[in-house]
Amino acid sequence: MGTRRPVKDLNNERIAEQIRKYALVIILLLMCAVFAGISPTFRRLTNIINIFRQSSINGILAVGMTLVIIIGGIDLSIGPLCAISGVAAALYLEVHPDGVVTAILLGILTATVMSAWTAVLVAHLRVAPFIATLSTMSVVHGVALVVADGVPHTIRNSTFTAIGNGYLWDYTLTNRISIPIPVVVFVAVILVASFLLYKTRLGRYIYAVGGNENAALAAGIHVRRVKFITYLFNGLLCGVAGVVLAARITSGQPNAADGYEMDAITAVIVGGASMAGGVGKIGMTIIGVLILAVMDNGLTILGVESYYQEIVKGVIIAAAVLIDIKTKKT
Amino acid sequence: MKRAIALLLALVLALGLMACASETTPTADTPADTGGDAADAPADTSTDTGDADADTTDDGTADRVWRIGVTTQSWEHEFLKNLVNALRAVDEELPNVELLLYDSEDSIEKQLSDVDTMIADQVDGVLLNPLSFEGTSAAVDACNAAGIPVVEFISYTENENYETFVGTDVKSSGIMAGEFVAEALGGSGSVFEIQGQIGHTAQINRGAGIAEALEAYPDITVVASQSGEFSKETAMNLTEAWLLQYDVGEIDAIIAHNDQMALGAMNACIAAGRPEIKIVGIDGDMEALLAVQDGTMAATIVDYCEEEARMAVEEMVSILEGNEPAGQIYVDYVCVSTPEEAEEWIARRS
Repeated sequence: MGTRRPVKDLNNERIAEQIRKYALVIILLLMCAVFAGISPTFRRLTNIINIFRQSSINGILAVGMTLVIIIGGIDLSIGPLCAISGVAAALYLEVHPDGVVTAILLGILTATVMSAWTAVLVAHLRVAPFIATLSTMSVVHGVALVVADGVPHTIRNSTFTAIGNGYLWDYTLTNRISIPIPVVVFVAVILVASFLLYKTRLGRYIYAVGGNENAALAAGIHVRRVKFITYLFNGLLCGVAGVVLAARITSGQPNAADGYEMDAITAVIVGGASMAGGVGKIGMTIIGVLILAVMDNGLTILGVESYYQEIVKGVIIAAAVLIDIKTKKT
Repeated sequence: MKRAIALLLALVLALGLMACASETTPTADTPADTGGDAADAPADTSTDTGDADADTTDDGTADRVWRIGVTTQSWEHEFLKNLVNALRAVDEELPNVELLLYDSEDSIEKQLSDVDTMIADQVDGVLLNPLSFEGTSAAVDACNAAGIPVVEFISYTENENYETFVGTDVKSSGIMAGEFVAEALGGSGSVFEIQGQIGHTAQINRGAGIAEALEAYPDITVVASQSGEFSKETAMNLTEAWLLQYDVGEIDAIIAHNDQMALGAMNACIAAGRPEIKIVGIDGDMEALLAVQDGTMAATIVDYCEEEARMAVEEMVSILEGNEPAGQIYVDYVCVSTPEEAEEWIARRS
C-alpha cells in the first residue's frame, strides 16, 4: 500500500508533463482550427505557405535568441545586427553585381564580427547582457547608418533576391504550391542549431552555464568561452536572417528589422524558455514562432484592426508565462 | 494546470469571437456564441473584413462589388489616420467597393506579407501605400505574378510595374514650404531645417524641394540642417539646442519636414520665449492646423489626403472596369497660413 501513492503521484506528474509538453501544440492547433473555421481564406494552402514564410525571419532570430536565453542572457541588438548584414551584402553587390555567394558570406560575417562586441562585454568584462546588448544595439545601428550613408541600397541581383522572395521550384508548375526559400533557410538553421544544442558538448555546457553558472565553473566548464561562442553564434544567425530580410525587401536598409528583438523574445518566452536561464527548447520556440505568426495572419485576415492585435499579443505573452508558472507547480 | 488550460482555451475562443464579431455579415459556421464580452468589438472594426468570399463568388450580376486590398504605412501616424478615415469614408460612400484595410505597422516585411495575404484572399486589386521606395518593390512583383492590378498612392516604389501612381509631388511640398518662408522673411534671413528620418523618401524629396526654393534667394542662408527623425520629441530637443546656441535674431525661421517636428520646434520656441521665429511644417496635422489658427505656427503645407484616397480608389475601380490606367495622378498641396484657412480645414477633419 505504501508504495502506491508515490506511483500514482508519478503518474500524475507524468501526465502533467505530457500536457505541458503538448499544451503549446494544442493551443496552436486550436487557434488554427478557430481561424480556419471562420475564414475560408485562412485555410487556403497558399495562405498556409505564406504563414511559414512570414515566420521564417523571426524564426531564425528566435532560434538564436533561445540559445542566448538558455545561457541566462538576452540580446536586444539583433535588429541592428540583421540590418548591418543586409547593408553589407547590398553594398558588396553594388560593387560586384554578380558576387552573390561572397555577398551572403560577407553579410553573415559582418553580423558575426559585430556581435563580438556583445560577446566580449558579456563573457569577458562581465557586463549584464541587457546593458551590453543595449550598447551593441546602438553601436551597430550607428555603424550601419555610417556604412550605408543613412540610405537604403537597392539589390538588383535576382539570384540574391530569390533568397527572400523565391521558391524551391517554380510555383506556376504546381498550381501555386511550392516551398519558399526563406522556409528552407529556416529549416536548415533549426537543424544546425538543434545539432549544436542537443548533440554536442557545447550544447550541454550552454544548459549547464545557464542553469547554474557557479556550478558550471566548479565543474571545470570554460564558462567565458561558452558564453562567447553562444553570442557569436547568435550574431551569425542574425547575419543569416539579415541576408534573408535584405533579399525579401530587395534592399539593404540601415533601419530595417527595427523592433525585431521583441518578436523574437516573445516567441522564445511563449515557447516556455525561462528568463532565469537553463531552460528552453528549440522545438518549443518554433511552436511559439508559429503561434505568433498564425495569430498575426489570422487576425489580419479577419480584419481585426492592428490596434487590437497589439493588445491580443500582450495578453498572449502574459497567458504563456502564466501557464508556465502553473504547470511548474503541479 | 487544468485551470490554466481552460483559461487559454477561453482566450482563444474569445479571440475567435472578437474576430467573428468584427464581420459585417454573419457567417454560418461561426462557433458557439458563448459569453458576450466580445460583442462590443464590431463597432470599431466594421468596415474592413477580410472574409467576404461567399458574397462575391458569383459576379455575373451588374452590381459587382470590387474587393480591394489596401496596405498603408503605420496607423500610428496622424497623417495615416486621416488617410484611413478618408478611405473608410470612400468605402462607405461607394456601394460597388469593399476596402480591406491592412496596417503595415511600419515593418516592410509585414507589408510584403500582408500583400501575400491579400493575394491568397483573392482580392480584385491592391492599393499600395509603400513603406519603402526600395523595400516594397517585391510586393509589386508578387501582384504582377498573381495578375492583380496595383495602384500606388501617397508614396511609390522603385519597381514601376504598377498601373498608376496617385499622390502628390512630394518635392513640391518642400518647394511650397521654402517659398512661403522666403516670402514671409522678405527674401533674407537665417533658416533652420529639421529633416525627416535620413534616407526616407519624404526626407530626400522635401529636403530637395526646400533647397531648390531657397536657392532662388541669395540672402537666405540655411544655417543648420539636422534630422529630427520625424519625431516631435527629437525635433524639440534639437530646437532647444539651437536656441541655446543661437541668440535672438539669429534664427528667423524653422522649416520641418513634417508637422510633428514643427510642433516640437514650436514648443521649444514658446518655452524659450522666442515666438518671433516663424515655423513651417508639412502634412496638415490637426495640431498644426490649430497652431496656425492660433498664430503660433506660421504655416503648414497640407497634404490633401482625402482627395488622394478618393482618387486612388476611383482609379482602381476604373482599371477594374477595363479602362486604361492613367499612369500618374497628382493632387496639389495646399499652403495654410491664415486662421481662416486653418479653420476651414479643421472643420473638414473633425
